[in-house]
Amino acid sequence: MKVTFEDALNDCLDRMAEGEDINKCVAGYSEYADELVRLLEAARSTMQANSSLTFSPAAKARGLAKLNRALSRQRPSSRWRLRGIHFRSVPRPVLLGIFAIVITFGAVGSTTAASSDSVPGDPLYWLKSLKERALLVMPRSEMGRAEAHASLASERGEEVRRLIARGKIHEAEDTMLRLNEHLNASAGYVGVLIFGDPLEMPTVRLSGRPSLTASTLKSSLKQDGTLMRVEMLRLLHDAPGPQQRRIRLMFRQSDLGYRVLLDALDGGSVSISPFVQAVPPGRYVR
Amino acid sequence: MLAKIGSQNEVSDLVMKAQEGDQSSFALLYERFFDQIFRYVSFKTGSPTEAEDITGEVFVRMIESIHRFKWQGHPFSSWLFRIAHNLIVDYFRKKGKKALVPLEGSADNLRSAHVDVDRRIDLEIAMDEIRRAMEGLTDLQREVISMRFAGGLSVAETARAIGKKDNAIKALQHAGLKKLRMTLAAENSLPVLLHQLEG
Repeated sequence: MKVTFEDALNDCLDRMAEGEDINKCVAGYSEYADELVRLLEAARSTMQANSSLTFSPAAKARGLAKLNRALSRQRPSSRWRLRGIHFRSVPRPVLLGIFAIVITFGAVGSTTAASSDSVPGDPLYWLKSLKERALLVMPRSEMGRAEAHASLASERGEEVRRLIARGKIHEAEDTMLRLNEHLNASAGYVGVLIFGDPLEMPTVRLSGRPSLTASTLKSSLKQDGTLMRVEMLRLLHDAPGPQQRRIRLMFRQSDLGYRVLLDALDGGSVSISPFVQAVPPGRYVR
Repeated sequence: MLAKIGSQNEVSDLVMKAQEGDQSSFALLYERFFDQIFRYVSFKTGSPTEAEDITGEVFVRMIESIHRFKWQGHPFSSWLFRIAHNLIVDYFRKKGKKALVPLEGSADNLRSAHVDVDRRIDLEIAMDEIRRAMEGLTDLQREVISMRFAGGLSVAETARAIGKKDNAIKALQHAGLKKLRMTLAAENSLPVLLHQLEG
C-alpha cells in the first residue's frame, strides 16, 4: 500500500526528532522528496529553536518547591490492604467501631494480645494491621499522627528483626519498605519531606507549616534508631553468608531512614549519602 | 521504540503510585515531564517568566487532579498537556492577548555557561521569526506544531490531548508546516534561520 504524503512527513519528523538527517529520511520517500525537504527544513528550524530553550536550574528548583508546598497540603495516604479490602475507603467512624467491637467482646481479647507479636505471614497478623489502622485515624493533631507513624515504624523494625531471625529475608525486605514509609509519613506531619531516590532530591523543610515541638518524637526516634542499629548488627553477625548482603542493605536502609529524619528535625545540613541530603529549614522557600 | 514503551510503563507505574499517595512519585513525574511542559509553555507564551509560573501551576494541578485521571487509552502526557493548554488559554484570556506574542528575551534562559552573546542574539532573532510565522496558522495548526515540536509529543499523544484523531493531527501538521514554510520562504528567512540555528 502506498504511503501517503502525510504519513511520510510524519515518519520523517519522528526520525528527525531522534537525530536522523533530513536526506536520510527523504531517501526512503523519493516520490515526495522535493516537497518533503522543504517542509522538513521548516520543521527543523522550529525544532532547533525549541531545543535551545532551556530552563535554569533555579527555575526548576522553584517549581519543585511549589510542588512540595502543594504536596504538604495533601494528607499522606496510607492505603492498607487486607485480603482485598481497601481500608482507605472505610470511613473513620466505621473503623473505630470495628476496633471497639473487637475489644469489647472479651473472647477476642486474648487473640488481639497474641496478634501483637505477630509478623507478616502469621495467621493473626491481619488483626494487628486492623488495630494499627485504627490507631492511625485516632490522633487529631499532626504531632499525634507523626508520633503514631514513628511508633509503627518501630513496630515494623521489630518485625524486620523477627523475620530475619526466622530466615524470612524476602518478607523482611518488604517490611523494611513499610518501615521507611512510616518514617516518611512521620516526617511529613512535622513539616519535612524526604526523597531518597537516585535523582538526588533533597530533603526540604516545608514553608508555612507551624513549627511543631518535636522533642518527644526525636527522643523516640533516637531510641528506636539505636535499638534497630544494635539489633541489626547482631543479626548481621549471626547470619549465614548468603543472607548477609541483603541484611546489610536492610541495615543501611533503616539506619539511613532514622538518621535522615533526625537530622532533618534538627535542621541539620550534613550530607548523609550521595542520594539524600538534609538541608537547613527555609532553604527552598520561595 | 522499545525505550519508549519502557518509559510509558515507568510513567504508568509512577502515576499509579502517585494516585495511591506516594509523594516521591509526584517528584519523579515532575522530573520526567518538566522539560517538555516548560518548552511547550515557553513557546506558546514567549515569556520565560510566565512559562515558569504556568509550568509550576501545571504540576500543582496535577497533584490536585491526579486522582481523577483514568487509564482509558489516553497517555498521561496528553492529560498533562491538556492541563497546560487550558492554563495557557486562561493566561491569554486574563491578559487579553493573542495566542502568540513576540518573544521577550526568551533566549535569556539559555544557560550562559554554554552560549555566548552572539549566539544568544542569533537564537532570539530565529525564534522571533518563527513565532511571527506561526501567527499565520490557525489555532489548531499552531497547537499541533507547538505540542509536536516544542512539547515533543507523538502524534497519538497530541491527538488525545487535543481530542482529535491521529489522521487529523497529521493533516494539521502538514498544513501548518506548509504555511510556516511559505511564510518563512516569502520573507527569505529560512536560509538565514537555518544558519543562525545551526550556529
